[in-house]
Amino acid sequence: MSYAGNEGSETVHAAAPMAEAEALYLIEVRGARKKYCRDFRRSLYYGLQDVASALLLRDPHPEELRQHEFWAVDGVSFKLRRGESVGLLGHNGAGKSTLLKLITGQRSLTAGQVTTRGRVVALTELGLGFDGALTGRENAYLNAAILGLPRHKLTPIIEDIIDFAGIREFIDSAVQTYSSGMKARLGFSVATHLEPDILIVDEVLAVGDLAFRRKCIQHVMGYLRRGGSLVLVTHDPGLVQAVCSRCVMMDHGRVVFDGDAVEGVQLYLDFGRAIARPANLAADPSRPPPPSAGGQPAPQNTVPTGTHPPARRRGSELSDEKPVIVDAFELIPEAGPSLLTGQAARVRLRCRSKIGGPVGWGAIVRTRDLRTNIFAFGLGFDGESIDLHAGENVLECRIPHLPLQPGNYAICGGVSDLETIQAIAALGFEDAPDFFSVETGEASRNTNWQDVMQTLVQVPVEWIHSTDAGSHET
Amino acid sequence: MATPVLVHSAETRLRRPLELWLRLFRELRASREVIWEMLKRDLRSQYRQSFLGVFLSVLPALATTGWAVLFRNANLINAGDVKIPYPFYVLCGMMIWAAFLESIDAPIGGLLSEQGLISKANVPPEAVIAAKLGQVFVNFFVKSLVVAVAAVWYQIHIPGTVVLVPLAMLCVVSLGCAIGLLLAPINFLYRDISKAVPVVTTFWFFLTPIIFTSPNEGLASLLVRKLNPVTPLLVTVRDLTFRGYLSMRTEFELAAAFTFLLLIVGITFHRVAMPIVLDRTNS
Repeated sequence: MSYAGNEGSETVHAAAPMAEAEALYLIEVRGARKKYCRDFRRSLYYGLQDVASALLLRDPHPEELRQHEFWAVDGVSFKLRRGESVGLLGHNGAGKSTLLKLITGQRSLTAGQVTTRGRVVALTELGLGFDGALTGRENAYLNAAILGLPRHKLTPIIEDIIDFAGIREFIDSAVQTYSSGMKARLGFSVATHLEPDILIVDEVLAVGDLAFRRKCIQHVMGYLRRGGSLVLVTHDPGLVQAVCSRCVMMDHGRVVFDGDAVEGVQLYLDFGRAIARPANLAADPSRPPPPSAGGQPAPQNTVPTGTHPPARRRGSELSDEKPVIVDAFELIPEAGPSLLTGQAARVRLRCRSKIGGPVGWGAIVRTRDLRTNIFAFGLGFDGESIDLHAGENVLECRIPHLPLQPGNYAICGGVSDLETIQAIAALGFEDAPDFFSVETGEASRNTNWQDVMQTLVQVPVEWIHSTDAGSHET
Repeated sequence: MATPVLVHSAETRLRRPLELWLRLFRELRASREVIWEMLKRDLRSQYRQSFLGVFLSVLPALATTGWAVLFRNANLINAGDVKIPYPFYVLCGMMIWAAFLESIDAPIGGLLSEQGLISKANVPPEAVIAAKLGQVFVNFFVKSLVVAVAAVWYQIHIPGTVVLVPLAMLCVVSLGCAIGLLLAPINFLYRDISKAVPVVTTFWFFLTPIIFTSPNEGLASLLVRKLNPVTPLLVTVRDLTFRGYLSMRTEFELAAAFTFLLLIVGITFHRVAMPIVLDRTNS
């Protein structure tokens, strides 16, 4: 049923028995490469060029990068067996989503080959094709047909789908009366009940409330137990640990780790920590990530910021719609090699801008699973501001006593407009946050006790030794 | 059960033209359900969400008929001798012309509005176009009920050749669709196309015998009768509806052959260009 948006793709309904070893793999990606263009206008022009050369049967010179082009996926080989579940991790612009699109055929390859065996259902957007004027039930049939399931196969399971979505009383009302959560539930419910050979999920498990989210994950795990195969792209390492047995980590379009999920998640978190420091491996994409960044000396705050150009977020270029781009957040200890609880730390936001003028900025520090916001700070709510100039900017603030307990954390934030207090540019909300870790300083009974209590922050407390306990009651 | 095996590679589709066509048919066959569901959705929402539903779909044609009649009575148009009641003549032409315009827009506007389905759910673009063309036919059928009412009103004798109208309409729709297929991929890159189409078709409208009869001499005759492929197709549909004989038979055959060739070129071009172009869109 599937349409492959690929030049030269072919569907073969296998008549001859496949070689045993070959049939084991549901997905086989061999040396896949894909180039993208950062500049949108130029990208359109290249599109025109490519159409012309395809019509003239001319080779599109896959190895050559034209101006503003870069490799989004750069020589990836990857195989998926039946019954396997793989989590695809990586930072923003690492090439995860592009790889998925190459597998599903939504994007065409620049070079290499992708083979899929079996029915592929890609959950990249819920409720595709929904029409507001139609009822929930009608939309469910439409959505299933779009995802490749004919009407007669949906009829026996439609009641399950409605119950799963939990919207039975509204199922015969027009979808335009639904809340966005209800729409997402219905879309998710349809998609997960299709039981494809290969399920591909890109960041959509996070719909609905927590209870629904749990239900979704349980459903996906049930699908895996029944022998399904899964490729999951997410920024949530906890989800990878829960659902996947295998983890593939990508960076700069390449696979840098392929192995056990738990090991991969650990690496991802360490990797995040490494990126939070200027002397990091993002500056050298060919180098695989170190197993741990803990031993790396962090630069002192006296190091001029210009020495280490920030890792640019790939695929993002300044434009009128994106006048400012936040490239990175860094947390830097004021003294010593690493961030310590209670010690002074500096937060640096690196951004590129094509505009100048006063702006506000701020950040939210969250737990690394992104579910809890620990503390936040912002400049610009009450008229204060900082001046941004066109070009590269470093915005900095100082936290005299970092309250965070030892552990790994995420930081999100952005630059905001002073008048509306709305974000001009952000990092970590629609994309992955930056990570950093706080380490244990000198061990003491108190630090150990705090560790046992699993607290997130340590607040300085002044003990008042008063004998007059009842003074407030008089 | 046969496992569908898909191989994606970087080669241009044009290198294997036979496979290009076989694959198209296979995909369309496999997409029957989606096409049907999309067609049902479009029709339901078209007719459910508007109070006047059917009436609104014929309103533009009625409006054009109205002003054509006014202009003719004021001697602003020299319509020629149409031999049947003039409003009926214009109404028929307008219905056919509207179907032609809708067919041009089926690939251009249809693909743009369903971009999400094509790029995110792997629905073949041709399936989307097929559903939109289905809608063109249904709309035409609904509108012909209005023509039938008008025929009764003006007491016009409808000959038996009317049963051949769908066949001739197939040519009209194919021509529009072929033009749309050639323009749609480029429109994905540069939206200038969808802005230019109404400008060109407005001009084209006046080169097609809809509000006047086809002229027999001079530059007008050359433009309208010889160079405009829509003319013989449209005149033939009209002839089948109320004349019972073909006044432009040779021209019709030529235009139909031209349409067929253009359709083959259009589909081939579309198949080759669409994946490249979809890559360049933002979704």
